[in-house]
Amino acid sequence: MIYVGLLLLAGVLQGMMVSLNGQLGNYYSLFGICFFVHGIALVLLLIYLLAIRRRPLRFSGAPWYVYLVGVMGIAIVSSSSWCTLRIGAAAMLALSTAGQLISSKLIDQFGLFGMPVVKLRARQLPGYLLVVIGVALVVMF
Amino acid sequence: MIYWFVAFLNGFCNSINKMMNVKAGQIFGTANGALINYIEGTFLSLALIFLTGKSAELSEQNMAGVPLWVYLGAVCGLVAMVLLIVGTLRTNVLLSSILTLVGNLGAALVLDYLFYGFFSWWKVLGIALILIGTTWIEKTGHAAKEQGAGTD
Repeated sequence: MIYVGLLLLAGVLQGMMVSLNGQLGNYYSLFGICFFVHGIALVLLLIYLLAIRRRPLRFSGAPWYVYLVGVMGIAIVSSSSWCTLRIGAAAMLALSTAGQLISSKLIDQFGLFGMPVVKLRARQLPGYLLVVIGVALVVMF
Repeated sequence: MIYWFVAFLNGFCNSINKMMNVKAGQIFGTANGALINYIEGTFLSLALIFLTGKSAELSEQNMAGVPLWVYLGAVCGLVAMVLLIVGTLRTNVLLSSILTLVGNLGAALVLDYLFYGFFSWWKVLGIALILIGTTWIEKTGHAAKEQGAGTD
């Protein structure tokens, strides 16, 4: 039960993160927002890794695309902050959730990024339809 | 309209980013994998601030006018990541996806009201439908994957 609470709290914190990062946009440019969002997390994580865990840092030996993760991070933070300021966090997260569900299905459908192929089943379609209607309600009203 | 499209694309980026983070986590460990993301993000965005001629926003004078609480988003993101890893390891991916979605859409609804005064019961209904739809997709998808694994 405690883990259910932890996961709910994780979700609440993610919602707060998107909303607060949007508020940073009142003071900084998109790249300024990205700098503070990544920089503050970097300092906190470095303190944890160097002072508490005392493990050596290692960054070699990954496929090339793994090193593009920071570029993707900037795209995600800047686009979510830009949209949140204009359409609000709920609409931003609803649309982003729809994008995640559809892109995950495309990855499964065609086995992209080396993932196993899992084809779309007809019985999944009502679920997608409910998400589309839900997103439309959040965005339009 | 452009904001809707960009927000939708943000979801695509999130899916790809998750796969990159999982791969980075497998190779370097979860914390080191996240560290690569933050190191690259920090230095790339700093370079882009200078390249776009916005360096004045990092001046002491500008930063002094920014309330400290708006920086808390980064702390929320980091704590959320740790809780998500701990919670998912001890439950399952389906429950983890649904619970975090409940939390983040619920928090977004409350914060939209606090920051912008947006609220409507239609939005609440929309969020409920997204949650039901996502649960449906995840459950039927999970069953399909299990069946696929069984026939291999």
